[in-house]
Amino acid sequence: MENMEVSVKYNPALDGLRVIDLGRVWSGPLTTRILADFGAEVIKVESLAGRGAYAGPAARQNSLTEDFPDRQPGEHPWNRIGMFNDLNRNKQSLTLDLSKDEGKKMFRQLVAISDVVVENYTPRVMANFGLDYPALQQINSRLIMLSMPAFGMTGPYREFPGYGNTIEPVAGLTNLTGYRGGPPEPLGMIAGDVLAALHGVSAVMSALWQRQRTGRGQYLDLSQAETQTSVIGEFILGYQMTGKKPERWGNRHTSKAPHGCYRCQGEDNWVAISIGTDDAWQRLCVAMDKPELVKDTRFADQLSRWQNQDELDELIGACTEQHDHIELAARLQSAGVMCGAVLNGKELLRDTHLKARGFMVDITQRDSGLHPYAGVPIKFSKSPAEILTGAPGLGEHNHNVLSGLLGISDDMISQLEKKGVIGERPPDASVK
Amino acid sequence: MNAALENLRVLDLSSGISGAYGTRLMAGWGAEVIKIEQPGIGDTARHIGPFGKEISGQENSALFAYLNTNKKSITLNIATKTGVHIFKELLNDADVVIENFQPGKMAEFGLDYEVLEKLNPGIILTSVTWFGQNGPYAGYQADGMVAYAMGGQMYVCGWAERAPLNSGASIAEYFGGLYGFIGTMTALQYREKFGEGQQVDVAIFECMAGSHQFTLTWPAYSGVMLERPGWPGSRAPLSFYRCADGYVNLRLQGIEMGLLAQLFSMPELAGDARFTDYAARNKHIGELETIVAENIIKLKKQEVFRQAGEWRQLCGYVATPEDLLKDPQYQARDFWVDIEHQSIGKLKYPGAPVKISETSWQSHRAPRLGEHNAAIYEQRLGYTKDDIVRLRELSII
Repeated sequence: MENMEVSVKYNPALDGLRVIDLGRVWSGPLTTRILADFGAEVIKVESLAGRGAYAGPAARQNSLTEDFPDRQPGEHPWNRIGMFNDLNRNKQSLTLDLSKDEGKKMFRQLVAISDVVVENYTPRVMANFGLDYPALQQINSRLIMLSMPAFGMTGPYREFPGYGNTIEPVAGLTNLTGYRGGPPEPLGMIAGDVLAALHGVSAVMSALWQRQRTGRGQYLDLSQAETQTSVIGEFILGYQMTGKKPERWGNRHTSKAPHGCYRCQGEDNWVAISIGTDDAWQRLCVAMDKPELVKDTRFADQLSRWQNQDELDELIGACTEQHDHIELAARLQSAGVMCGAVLNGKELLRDTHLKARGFMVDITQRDSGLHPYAGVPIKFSKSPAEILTGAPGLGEHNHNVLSGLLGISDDMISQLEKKGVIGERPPDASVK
Repeated sequence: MNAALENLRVLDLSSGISGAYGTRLMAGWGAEVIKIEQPGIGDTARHIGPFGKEISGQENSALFAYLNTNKKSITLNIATKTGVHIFKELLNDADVVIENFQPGKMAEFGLDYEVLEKLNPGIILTSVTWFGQNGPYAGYQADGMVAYAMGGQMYVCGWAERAPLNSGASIAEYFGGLYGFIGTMTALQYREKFGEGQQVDVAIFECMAGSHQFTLTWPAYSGVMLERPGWPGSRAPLSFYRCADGYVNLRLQGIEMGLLAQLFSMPELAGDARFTDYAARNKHIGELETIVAENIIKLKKQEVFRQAGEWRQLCGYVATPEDLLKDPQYQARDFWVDIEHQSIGKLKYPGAPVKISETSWQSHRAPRLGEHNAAIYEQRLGYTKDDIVRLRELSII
């Protein structure tokens, strides 16, 4: 207990772990954000033009302005991107041009004093920079490097580009989803990037555990497609066992009924209800003020309810559409019925449970102001995850890292700025 | 040492997916994972289809067989005093306990963290539940669809004019399993530094609510809400097209016309003025969609995908399990591992989800219910054969 006081203040579990984040878009940055939330020092190494993909002309042409505060790109649009700020809290930003020799040199210096490198480029990129694992391992034998391209570092698809929504079909997720009798449908919210990131963190943590025993780092080759296929293993085995292709069930279930999404009062409000026992069915009937349904022979037991689902769904929908979705879900849950309101973004931001557990957190970002964000879904009793800083402005920590960590002189830093190796503004062409 | 976690001992009280996927990763990377199952019944996953040839029996579930590779199974009724006593003996040299009971259940057994900590101060107790250990919904019930609905994913899945759509894959439960793994490993890092275990509380609802793009930042930043069909369906559409044998998705707005010219053997497309630049193409996008829909139907989905990939263009093909098992990329990377199982036969399983250079992924079949009772109770804890008979008669094991 002696060290409790100290530990609660600054003990995040990964304190002392230095991570270089070359990740772009979603999967890579989420991987390192999780490490940062648990106390790792994450240095985001960015190219000066890198944020242009979200803040530059292409993004505005697609009118993605919803992701700017009050829809205003402002003076520094590259620092005001909701998606970027969400994924990069607790990190530092160092701009480096890795195509230039000075950039490479400083990157190597940084690798020498770091523990982990995370990147999600296509496989040829790091090798082209001369910064692939064999090269970096020579600088630091304790280095753990995670590469997370779409299809992995080897194989015939290795150079194929991919984002979550083109990888999900190839990995087998899309085939399983769709309205009953209809074609496959994409997930509305991509799961693939998150699955890649969570598996990536898992591999880093395992490699770290091993390094503490062997003293050696290692290389982690992650195929985003394979991490996604890993969450449908039961369907892969099931197909081999039965020879049957998996069906698309829509909102129905292989054995439970009712199991569906029912319309409620209002424009686009819904409640999901899932009944798996006779008792739960009776509780649902009573809670919906339809006690007579308990005696209805069409729905008397689990099998008959499953067989008469079309009628069942119609009856339930007629009840639910009289009610507010959130109130109804709370009432049914209190009555012991498994259900949930179909929550949208605004409702999640004000959800009472998420608030009560402190899940939603207000974070200030230098150029964007104060906004609520999703926090950390793991509560640790002794080393709570901490959100200390909002996402860094582009190049915000250039001086800190170059001078503080690498001992580079102020003169040299100004020269690097002049040459465009580092900076705090994207080249004009990429933002105007 | 050739497996990353080989010195780690895990007691797994969970059933279903959300605990088991995390311990699948632990066992695959070399940890000793002992599943503690209810006598006679076992993990609920043993009773979920599809099943092998025999429909009944506890050893025929595809879900169980997949999630529990490389683990050991013992039976133990922890709702009895003797069961709790034996559990505490197992705790002595364990590093981690994982459970996914309703909150409060571990305390009912007399096995809450305060009790475990006294017996083994280094122990990490990881609980993966739908809503977490506290808060207004802690006592609520959920399944995968309910979590998909409450987490915000369902609202943006499907089409605007139709009901929100559930995911076919069990996304919520697997997210829970992964965060359970990550939380446990993070707590182990803390223990490396400070010597103490701790309690790790994973809420699947929060895992879901925290796994979005734009769903939360749009309303927070600009008051705008992401609607079905979600991102990026409404912008820069990535549409599905029907091929001769299934579907592919393509993003026509930015696609290289040379690829389409090659795919459809229509060289004139490459220089077609309607589609040369972004603005022109936007104006004629309907015509381009028609050309693609009419021609792509004659091609095979994997052929389209491979040619698009060679052109470095974004494209996905909708793979079935059959396609996946034959896919040259998965084969070239040795993703599938053959595992022989006495009830369901020799099948191809997904192997290491990430290739760790100095760690070999373990590939042993899932255990039969109570398969390791003798090994654990007799050889490790020192019970006699007579004790085992008694415990069995008392329905404790």
